[in-house]
Amino acid sequence: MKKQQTSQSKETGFKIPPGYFEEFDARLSEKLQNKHLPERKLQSGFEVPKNYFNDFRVEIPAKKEGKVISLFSKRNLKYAMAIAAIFVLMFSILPDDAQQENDFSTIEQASLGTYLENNIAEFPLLENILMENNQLNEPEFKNLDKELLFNYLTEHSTEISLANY
Amino acid sequence: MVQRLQSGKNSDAAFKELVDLYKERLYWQIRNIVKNHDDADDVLQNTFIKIFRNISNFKGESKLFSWLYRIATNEAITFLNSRSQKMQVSNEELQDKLIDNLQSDIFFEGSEIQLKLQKAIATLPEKQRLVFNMRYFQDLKYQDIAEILQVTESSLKSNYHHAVKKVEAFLKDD
Repeated sequence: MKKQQTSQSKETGFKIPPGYFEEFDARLSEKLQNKHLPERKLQSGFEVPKNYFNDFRVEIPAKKEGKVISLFSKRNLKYAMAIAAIFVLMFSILPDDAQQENDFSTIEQASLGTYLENNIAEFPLLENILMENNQLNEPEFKNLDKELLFNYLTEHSTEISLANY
Repeated sequence: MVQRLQSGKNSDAAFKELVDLYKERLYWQIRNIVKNHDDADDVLQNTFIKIFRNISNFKGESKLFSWLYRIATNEAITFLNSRSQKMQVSNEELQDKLIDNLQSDIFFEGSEIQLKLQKAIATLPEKQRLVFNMRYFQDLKYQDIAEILQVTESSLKSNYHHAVKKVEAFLKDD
């Protein structure tokens, strides 16, 4: 056997380098490592602290329960009362147009007549306004011939009526 | 176990049992995604809290095992997305940072080839990365991975095949 490894074979005449078979396994292993994925036995290399799995405990956090807020707490009651007071004030101070219209239509005729009679002085009549402007007190107006006035009005009546439109 | 968890009677004891049964498997699923132990611990806690609160919604349409894995996977991915948003970096940049941090991580004792392998995995698209981790490191069956990720087995095999080729190419070129 030794002779076969170190010297030529008499049958074929082929020679092999000395120590070829001794080194073969090592070289093959090296080639496999370089060219192929390492065997399954290769571990990932990850380690864990000592007794990690023995000491491992799962800590389930307590579920957070929602805070219950009472609707009738003193604080909320104060807010509710303040809001209610605002509404009451608003309805009592602000005028209600719609309601006024309704009231106006239902005023009795007699009451309205009494009111106008009592307060008529506050509404100036057209005559008073003209008098205040002294238009009727003009001497020319007082001395105006009635016949001439009638003729004037007859001639200009069309213009006046047209001007109204 | 599901019935005991959902019934309310002795559910605390049943939950403790579930934690003991799955904590290690879910931890490694999460750790392979987030890389860092402290982050994996946080995500594992959140995963079990989510499981505890949603166990009543588990209809039994899939296996409990795959339902738990799915929650853990989603929590880990959500964690990374949130981290990349906070750091204002892309997911690819975040993966590079995670690998860079491994070199100074006291809980990573990988050899040079293991670190190189992690670098290669970080270059994969998200789905291929998930499939590779689950298949290569955790030795999960294709059928189970398909149920966890809710994809067909054929597309899963294709994903794994492409992932292996890319990892091999990375190791060869690097």
